[in-house]
Formats: sequence, C-alpha cells, structure tokens
Amino acid sequence: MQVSRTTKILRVLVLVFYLVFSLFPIYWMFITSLKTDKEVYIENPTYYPHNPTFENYRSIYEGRPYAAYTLNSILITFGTTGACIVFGTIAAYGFSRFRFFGNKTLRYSLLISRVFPPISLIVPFFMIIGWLRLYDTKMANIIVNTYMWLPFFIWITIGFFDTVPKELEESAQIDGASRFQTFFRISMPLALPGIAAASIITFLETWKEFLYNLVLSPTSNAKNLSVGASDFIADMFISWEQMGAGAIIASIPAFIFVIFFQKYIVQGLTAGSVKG
Amino acid sequence: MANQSDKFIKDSLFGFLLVLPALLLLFLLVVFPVIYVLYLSTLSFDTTPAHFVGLKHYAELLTNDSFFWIFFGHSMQYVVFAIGSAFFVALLVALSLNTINKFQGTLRTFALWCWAVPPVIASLMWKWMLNDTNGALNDILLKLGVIHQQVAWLALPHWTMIILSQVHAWTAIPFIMVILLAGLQAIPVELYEVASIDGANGLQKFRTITYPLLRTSVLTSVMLSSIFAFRHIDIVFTLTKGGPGEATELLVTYLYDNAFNYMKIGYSAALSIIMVFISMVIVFLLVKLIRPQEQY
Amino acid sequence: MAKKALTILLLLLVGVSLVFAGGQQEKEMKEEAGGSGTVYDASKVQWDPNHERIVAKDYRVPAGAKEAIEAEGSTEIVVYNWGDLSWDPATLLNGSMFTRLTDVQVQFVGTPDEQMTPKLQPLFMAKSGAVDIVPLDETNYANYVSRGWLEEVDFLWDDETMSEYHSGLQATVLDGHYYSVPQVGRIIDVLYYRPSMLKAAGYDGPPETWEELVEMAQALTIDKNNDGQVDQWGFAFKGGGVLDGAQLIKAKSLLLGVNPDDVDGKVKFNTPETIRVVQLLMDLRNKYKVVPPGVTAYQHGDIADFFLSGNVAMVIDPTYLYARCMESELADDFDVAVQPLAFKGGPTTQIQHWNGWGLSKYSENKTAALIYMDIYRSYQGQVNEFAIENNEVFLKKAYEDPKSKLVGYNDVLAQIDDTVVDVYQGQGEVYKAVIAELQKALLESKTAEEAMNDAQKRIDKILGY
Repeated sequence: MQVSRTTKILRVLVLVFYLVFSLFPIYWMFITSLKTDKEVYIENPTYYPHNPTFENYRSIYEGRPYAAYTLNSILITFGTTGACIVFGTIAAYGFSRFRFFGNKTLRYSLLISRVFPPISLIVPFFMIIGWLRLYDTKMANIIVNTYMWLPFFIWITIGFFDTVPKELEESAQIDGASRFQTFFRISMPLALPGIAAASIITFLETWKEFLYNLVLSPTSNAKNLSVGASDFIADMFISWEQMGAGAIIASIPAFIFVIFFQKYIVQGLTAGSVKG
Repeated sequence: MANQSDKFIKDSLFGFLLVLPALLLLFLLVVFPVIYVLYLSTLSFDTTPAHFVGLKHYAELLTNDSFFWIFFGHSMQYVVFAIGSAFFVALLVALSLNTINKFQGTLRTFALWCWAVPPVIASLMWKWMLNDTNGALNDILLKLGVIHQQVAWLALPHWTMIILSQVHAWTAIPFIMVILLAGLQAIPVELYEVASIDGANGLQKFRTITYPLLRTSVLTSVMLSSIFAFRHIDIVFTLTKGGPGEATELLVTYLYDNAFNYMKIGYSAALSIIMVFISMVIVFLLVKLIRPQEQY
Repeated sequence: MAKKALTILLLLLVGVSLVFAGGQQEKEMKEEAGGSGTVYDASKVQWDPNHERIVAKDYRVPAGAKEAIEAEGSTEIVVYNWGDLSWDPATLLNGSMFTRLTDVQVQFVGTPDEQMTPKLQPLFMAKSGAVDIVPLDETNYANYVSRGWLEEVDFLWDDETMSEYHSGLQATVLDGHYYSVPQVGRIIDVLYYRPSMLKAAGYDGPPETWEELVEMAQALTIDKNNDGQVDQWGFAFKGGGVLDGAQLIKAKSLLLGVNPDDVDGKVKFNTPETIRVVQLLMDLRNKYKVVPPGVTAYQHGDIADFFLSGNVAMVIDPTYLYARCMESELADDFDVAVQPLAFKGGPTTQIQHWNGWGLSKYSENKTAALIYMDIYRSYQGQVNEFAIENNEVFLKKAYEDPKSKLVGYNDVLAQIDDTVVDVYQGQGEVYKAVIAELQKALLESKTAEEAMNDAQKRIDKILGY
C-alpha cells in the first residue's frame, strides 16, 4: 500500500505529541519520588533529581503494609478479570448469536448499572456486603468490581462476536463440530481482540478502583494500592515526594501488565483468515 | 417445518441459558441499591429520624434550585470538551499505531501507560504540575517563551474548565484508543487495497471504509467514556474543588457536597436518580447520532 | 496453543484468587452490624469527680471501668484519625498509654480529610459497629450530632471541669449537651516570615498592622531579573479550600471586632467590617498585586508548599507549619509572629480550630472508647499533643508543663489569649457559599459588597432565616 511521505510524517508527529503529553506526568511523578523534600520545594523546578535518593520509597514502606496492598490489588484484579472473562464471554456469545425474547432490551439494561454515580451507591453496597458478612474482604471487592465491569465486558464482546460471520460457524457445524467446539475453535479466537481489549480494560480499571475499596476495605486485609497510596496524606498538607513514591509503587504492576498484554489487542484477525 | 422451529426454540433457550449467570449476578446487585436509593430520595434528613416527603426533592431540584441547572451546564461542558478532544486524539493515535510496523509493541505500551495510574494519584500529580508558582507546566512554558507571566491555570474563570477537561482527556484517551484499535483490527486490509486501486485517497478511504465499519467501536468507546466523564469526580475535586467561584462546579461535585458535607442524604439521592436519567438520555442521543449497523 | 494455555492460566488464577479471598470471611464476624443504639449506661463507671482525674499529672482509670470493659468483652477499639498517623506521634503515644492502662488494643485508621465522611457515613447509615471513635471538627460535628450518630457524654463534664479548658470549648456544647472531648485547638493564624528578605527590603521586623503589611508586601514583591515576571511575592493567602477562604474572612473580621459566625446570635457575612475585609483581599490581589493570582485556589497545603519553596516573604498559616519549616532548608531563615492587627491597639481575637473525638452510638466497646477519650482530654494526653506535635490544646494547665515550655513558638502563643470557636449546623454549606462568593469578588466579577450580600442571601436560605 502506497503511503505518502506527508502522511508518514503526520503519523510520527501525532504519536510523538501524544507520547510526550501522556508520559510527562509519569516522568514527573518518578523524578519527584527521587527528590528530597528540600529539592521538591525549591524556587525553580528541576527536571532531573540533583541528588537522587530512594529514601522516600523506604520511608513510605515503614509501618505501612505495601506488600499486603500489592497482593490485595493483584488478587482482586485477577479475580475480577477472571470472573468477567468467564461470565462475560459466555453471556456475550449468547446475546450475539441467539435470538431470544428481550435480547435488545436486556443489552441496554446492562448499562444501567454503569450509569449510577458510585457515590450514591456506596451506602447500599456497604449494607449488602455487610449482610454477606464480607466487610473488609477481597471477595467483596471482586464482587463489586465485577458488578461494575461485567456489563461493559459483555457489551464490547458482543460487538466482536457480531463480526464473526455466521457462515463460518455454520460450516463448522455441518462438518460435525459441536456447539462447544465451534465456540472455542472458531468464534472465540476471532473475537479475541475484543475479548483482550475488554480484559485489559477491566484489569486496569479494577486496578485503579478507589471509592468502593475505600469504603469497603478499611484495613490491609483488602485495601488496594490505589487507596493505600493516598494513605500518607497528612491532615494539613501533602508530602509530594512521598506521594510520588507511592504513585510509582501503585502503578508499577499495572505498567508491567501493560507491557506483557498489550499485544493481545491486535493478535488474531489478520487479512485472509476471514475467508476461512 | 417442525424441525426448524424446534431448533429455534432450543437455540433460544440455549442462548438464554448462556446469558443467565451474568444477568443473575448483575440483577441481584442492582436491584437492592437502586430501590434503596429511590427510597432514600423520598426522605428528608432535616429531622431525626428522617421523615417522608415524597417527590419534593425532585421538584425542588428541577424548579427551585438554580444551582442544579448551572452545574448541569458545567457538567455538559466538561463531558463535551473532555470526550470530544479525547476521541479526536485517540482516533488519530489509533490510526497511526495501526499502520506503523516498527516498534508497535513498545509504542502501544507507552501509549497505554498513563492509563495505569490510579485517578486520585494522577489528579494530585496534575495539581502539582499546574501549580502557578512551583509547577512544571508554567516553568516549561516560560522557558519556551510561550507565556511571559506565570498563569494560574486553576484560577481562570473561563478557561479552567477547559484545562480540567483536558486533564480528564489525558485519563480517557487510552481507554478509547484501545477499543478503536481493536475495532480497526477487524477491518480487512483488502478493502483498503481495492479502494486504492480505485483511486481513493486517505480521507475518502476513511470516510467510506474505516468509519462505517468502526461505528460500533466508536459508539461503545464514546458512550462509555461520556457516561464515565459525567460522573467523574476526582479531577475536579482534587484540582479546584469546584472553584474558582463555582465556575467548575459539576453536578457530581454538587452531589458529593450534598451527600457528605451538608448531609442532605435524601436530596442527594434524588439528585443521583436525576443524574441517571441524564446519562440515559446521553446514551440515547449518542446511539441516534452514531447509528451502528449490524455487520455483515 | 498459547491461547489455550493462557485461558487455563487465567482460570487457575481466578480459582486461586477466589480461594484466597474467601478465606478472610471468619474475621468479619465480629465487625458486622452491631450496636443497637441504646443509650449508654454511664453508672457502671465512677466518672464523678471528673475534675480531679483530668488535671492529675498521672492519669488513673476511674473505678468500675476495668470491670465494665471486661463485661463488654472489648479487646480492641477502632479509632479513625484525620490523616495518616505517621504525622501524629502524639496520637500514637496516647493510644499506647491507653492500651497500657486498659489492655485494650487500638486500631487506628488514618484517613485523609476528604475521605472521612464517605468512609464513615455508610458505617453510620448501616448502624455498623465497625467504628468506635470518630474524629470531629467544625465540618462534621454538628451534622453527626443532628443525625443522632454520636453518643451523648454529659457524664464526662461539669462546670468545674469545663473551667480548666479555654472558654472556646463551650461552643462544642450543642443544645445543652456534650457529645465530644477536645483533641487539639490549633491557632490558625500565625505570621510566618523570612528575616533575610525583610532585611534586604530595609525592614527590621514583621508588620504589626494591616497598613504595614500592605506597605511591606509591596516592597517585598520583586522582579529580580527584570524579565517582567515576579520572582518573589510579598504575601499569599488562602482563597479556596473547604474552610480556608471563609475562615480567612472570619479571622480578619475578628480583628475588626466582628465575628461573622455570631452577629447577635446569627451568621452574618455582609457586615461593613466583613465587606471591608473582602475589599482588602481583593486589593492585595488586584490593586497592589502582592499575592499570586492563583490564591483563589489555595488551601492550607498550598500556602505551606509556597512558603517552603522560598518564593514568598510572608504568609499566615496555622502553627503546624512551624515544625515543617524547622525540618526544611528554611530552618535558619524563618520566624513567626502574631498576625498583624487591623490597626494599632485593635482587637486581638483569633480563631481556634477545634478537633475533637466522638463516640459512635453503634459502638460495641463504649466504656473502653470513653476511657480513650478521657485520657486524651486529660493532662498527660493534652501535654503530649502540645509538646510532641506542637498542636495547641484546650487544657490550660498543659502549657505549664516543663515539656510544653520547650516548644519553639511558645512566646507567640503567650500573646494570644482571646480566641473563638464556632460550631453550628450548616456551617459547611455556609462556608462553601462564602468561599464561592469570595472567589467571584477576587476575580472581579462582583464588588465586595455585592459578593457578600449574595453570600448572605444564600446563608439566609441555608439556615432558614
């Protein structure tokens, strides 16, 4: 495919501009975390730490169960993503492939749970979790996060199942494949970019979840990194250098996740496979 | 043809069964909270214990509360500016990433990183960067000669809302981009090749091939991120608290104040129900606007 | 193949996670919905006479308390704290003193200010026993009391006991009843300044009146390298926040002899004196240009950061900043003074910012919690707060302790003896309206008079005048 030079340059410019815009705050967070408080507050901001120190990382670990927060975050996020993949893929397949009464209505009603401002739901959720005797547990967070992201997961995945041509499935079934085999060998792989996208989104959004974890998990039993990183805000001020350290720690596992899983968004559908 | 209708019923049932677990889970978790909030919205907490006032809060909000309408306007500005620019940038980035062959993985990683940062923390970092006397942004702009005086980004009566919406866009772009990228992957390359042979240029290809096939992804990403922006509180709350002079006060910060600062629990419950309706209207309008087609 | 493996791996992870997550369930049994909210039976413990116990140099647990604690089966109390506890060594010390005396553990939950009510409200609405002691200040105290969430503690107080505390504490008596004990009573307006900057501008000491402040600020606002941009500001104030902007107006009005929170028993922010204060703030920003334009968004943390960055010559901020300055680069080049009066010989009334502890109605460990509260407001607890954390306290005798005398700005505090504390329902909403109108005035979309009259209209509606 011939592409003009200007288009190529434009593409590069767009990417460069965007990367600078999106990465600079992270860079800033990182260097702030390496500065001493004296350097953070000097007259002209410095763009690299003059006396880099890991003191802030050490001091926020002191007396704070960051390891527990990290483990909580990981368990909650994997649990939620897993639940969404299992329940969501199946449900999306059902919505997409089968015609049954109320299909369209139910699809849209899925969105209702997304639409409520979380602030107004924390009291009833707290009560539900209390009845289930799950206050201050990771399971509570998995349940609530699944509630938040399952509808979204289904919604996106429906869109991708919709793009899988029915003829492919029908020809497989004529060839003798069962429903399950059709699903696993043909439909799911083709919808994989969508499933992957939905999973990544669910993972990262659950990772960042703040309000529900704040209300439902007051101790290190289930508190996640997102809430834990705001732990050391004093009542009268914010220690910026410690904030930077906490921010980096809260983000690193998610950064690593992105490194490994971003390729699954594009894997799968390439030219030619559609023809079977 | 008995066979066919049998199969149809069997199929429908099977489909319904597939959908059932998810629906059940969500139904159980949705019913109680919604009913509870509706119940709260009919109570007034001015007295202890609270007393029943029916639909009074709704009437008050819609007819007697000038702040409701003003902040509603602010919320709409926030959503439109944030998602408008976020979508624009996300589309450009997705298109560029889709076609670049070298370093795809690395570029995608970097493009997604900003999204991994928890919103409260991201807001605090932006607050520090936008600080008028010590912030990085002013320092850079001064050094580049773009501005000559330090600008109080968070204290401008008209422009602060735009600044806040762009901070929100920073958090929303990766989300939209991921969905658009996945959608772009589903468009077969041959379509573009055929169009090139026919002599179409880039813009025409976009209009006739890319956009129509991308409609579902566009709708999903824009709709979800708009709803999310409408109820997003962290950025405004951390950066300006609704200031200066309530210029950036949103419906959602108004909701927060009523619920937690003034403890008008019933009033805020009614406000949240109204916000739900507004969100549904937004969804409806977006569906009408973007009109995704059934594919194939 | 890879995809299959990935699916299996993910399912495994789901399984493992669910197993781990589920294992936490037993712990929750004791923490779910608890107390019935019945009135506490105070007669089990011999609280009376309170006075002796709270001024004693060594605190002694009152008779009957140990038995009552055992009867309630308390092993731990949950105490929520404003902000993280690494900044509150005195609180931790008082907590361990409590544990030593009662064998009951304390679980502190440090929570940033803004997260406090979102965390506590669901607990109260669900009548949960998951919290025993809540931290209080002007923003939430009256609200919690009016919702019936706090236990009444009249038995902890009497006239003789009250007389040991600053008179401002009287404001925490609501409808004739007590619902709290004091933690700290921070003086919120102290002048911090940079002697080197003042000297360079030709001044030997800090300003003592508003006129001097304006004059000196102008001399101290300097464009060092003549690039058209101010490098050093003379002054800065807090025009934003949740309380800060409104308390700023109130603090300066007090120096003109008027308390906006109590003008003949009503809240009135549009008296001529208060309008004059707003005008002064507007002039500082727009006419004399001695404060950065961004002050409309500043709250307590921002002013502190600003001063610590060395870009401003004078600020007015609470006493907590003292310790931070001592640990910073400015340690040798800063000093504190009483804030400038409106005019020489003018009123010297200051605001005292009140923090207290309250007992949840739904607590299941009420006796233990009450002992914690009692320790905190007694001699040792209050001395710890002042000597270790340098937070002013309400107990007057605490200042006479040898440890207290070592606090760096004790002499400044000695000059302040007339303070007010105001707590009333709707205060948060009132202050928000005042701050919003102040900001509009600062941005010059309204005159000072228009802004405060509009604020008063809103206040009238909020308080139902």
